[in-house]
Amino acid sequence: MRISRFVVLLLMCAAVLSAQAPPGGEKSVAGEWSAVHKWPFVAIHAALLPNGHIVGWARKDGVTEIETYTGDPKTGVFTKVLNPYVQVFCAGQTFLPDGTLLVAGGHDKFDGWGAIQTTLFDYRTNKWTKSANMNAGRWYPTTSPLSNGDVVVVSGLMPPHDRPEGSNGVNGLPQVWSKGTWRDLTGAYNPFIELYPWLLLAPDGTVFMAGPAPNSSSLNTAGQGAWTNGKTTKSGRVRDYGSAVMYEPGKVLIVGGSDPPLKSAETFDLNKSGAEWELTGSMTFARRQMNATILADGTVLATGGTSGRGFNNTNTPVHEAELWDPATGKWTTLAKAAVPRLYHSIALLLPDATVLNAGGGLPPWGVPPPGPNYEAGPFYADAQIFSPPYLFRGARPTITSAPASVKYGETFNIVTPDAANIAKVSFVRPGAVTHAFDESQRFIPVVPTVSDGKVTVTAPDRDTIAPPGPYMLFILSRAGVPSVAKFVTIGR
Amino acid sequence: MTRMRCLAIAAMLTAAIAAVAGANDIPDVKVVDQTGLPLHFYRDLVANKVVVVAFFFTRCQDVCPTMAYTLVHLQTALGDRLGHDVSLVSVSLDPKHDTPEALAAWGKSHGVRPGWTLVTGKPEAINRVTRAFTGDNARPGLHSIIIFLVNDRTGEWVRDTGNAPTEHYVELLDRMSGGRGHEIEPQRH
Repeated sequence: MRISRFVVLLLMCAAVLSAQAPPGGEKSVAGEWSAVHKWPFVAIHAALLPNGHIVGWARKDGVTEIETYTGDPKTGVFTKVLNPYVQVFCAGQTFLPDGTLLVAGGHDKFDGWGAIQTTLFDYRTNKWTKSANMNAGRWYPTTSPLSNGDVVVVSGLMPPHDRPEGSNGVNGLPQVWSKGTWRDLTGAYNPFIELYPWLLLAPDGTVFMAGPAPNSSSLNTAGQGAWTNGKTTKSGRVRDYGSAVMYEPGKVLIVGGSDPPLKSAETFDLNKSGAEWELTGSMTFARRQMNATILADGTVLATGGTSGRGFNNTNTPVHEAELWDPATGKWTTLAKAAVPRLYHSIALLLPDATVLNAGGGLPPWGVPPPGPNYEAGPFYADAQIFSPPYLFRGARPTITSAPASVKYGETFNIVTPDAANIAKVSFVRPGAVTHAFDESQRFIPVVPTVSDGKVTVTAPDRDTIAPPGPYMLFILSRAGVPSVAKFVTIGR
Repeated sequence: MTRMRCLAIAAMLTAAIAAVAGANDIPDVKVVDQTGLPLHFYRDLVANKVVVVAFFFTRCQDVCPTMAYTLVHLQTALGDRLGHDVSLVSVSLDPKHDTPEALAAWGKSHGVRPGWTLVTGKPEAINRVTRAFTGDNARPGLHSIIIFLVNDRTGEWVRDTGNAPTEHYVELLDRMSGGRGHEIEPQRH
């Protein structure tokens, strides 16, 4: 009798649990991490190429060249490609309109010794070439694409032997790269700029600096250039080693960072005159040395980081991913990664709408620098792929075909057998990430029209919203499930 | 109430939030300055003072020179106030190498005046100091250009970027020390 009751109770519990289980199961709520894949390098820098592969690299000291790796991040099979011109660790990086990766500066043998070189990685040939040198070295600079396809570079440390007498060491003269040459923005000289500033192209064509310092500002790159003071964040904290994204055109999210690390996040709307920073929902976990990645549906994924005090507290890694929904301002805690991803880790949205999370740590790096030895710490020559919850909420739509390139404001068709079920379409610019900030990613939603079995959309009409270059084009079902992306170049 | 006054209050509130978030006990460990003088870190360098604390090491060639620039210019801007209204303290992250003599040589090359104390000591003592401010033991290779502004009289504690114009720090210190406040919001660029 007692056993029967127990069994009935068990069945009832099972029924209740079953009734509460989400469609698609737990993965549709928390997502899923892949197994850990060993890699031949620690991914400290990584960029998603327009062929779906990545290029990435780690660090070396005492040399002026470095092995980089390109290949399919899903397989972990990479081709080693030497950049013979410069050690591109601690450089800035973003894409040119043709999908070439521009890398500004780097590590001229040792920490803080900014390299003067500019190098270009061409995914069609898997080769590095050299472009014009900058005005001086830059270590920890940030690049940003501009609306006309040019690239601006800001900040970075100059090497000690090239620092002018009385200088603070920071390269305070921003430059614009255009068709192979650099132009100094002499009206925007500012040596009091942070290293690795968070730069985001704004809808008015200026470049918004969202942090890490609490005082935001804007850089006008026209003519000789000029900085304009902006608003101060609500937290008032220096969010160093937190992250920032433009999650919709003109809308900025900054999250985490500082020491002790912050849980909080703030938004700023560049589309509104007189806008102020506003607090949005806070993460469950404080994070520093994290990554923030825009997903195919415009939500933002926070991965890795550490919640403990210190520069890179390896005793307090945050394994849980968290997802921010711009519609609600709330964060949802997702599945736990197996590997800590802290200082020097990367995250990239991949064309199949999963997220690559890789690298991190302080690997031993060859020739010791002058002065004291920098101690090596735990490091991770491996990667995990995160499948967000949206991939477990129903059948994936597929793109049969879409144009390889479209012009600004052009209306075009996306051929799909799932047209009747398509609710959203988005463009996501491929990421180029290092040191907790992605200098390239941005999300641009477009409104689909569905008729006669076709999905019709109009490409963004402004180059300040979508700087020219390759984008991942996703279609999403009514359940929010994204397709595998097709690369589409937006241009003139 | 004027807009400027509102801005000043907003800035103070912001700083207050930072103060609460960054508050921590500062250890009173035995250290030694660039002249070889033994000191107790808290009671001799921080207690009842407004003090700017930064971390460096004499062989550092990456981010330390940037913070040294900041402190050198702040020292000039403070003038006679240095050592009276406001003190500067630079703590070595490389105490095994940074002897008082090494600190003195660095101080001479950077024009360090009385009121700017360069600190070294036994590694465990220095670790306690660095842990109180940064959460880390003393070691080179931490790429943060960060300084701390502390008013021990009020308990206010601001963790700030170490690469801002001198006026930014002067305004903050004026406000923190209460004597020469400006009714403007600190701006960096």
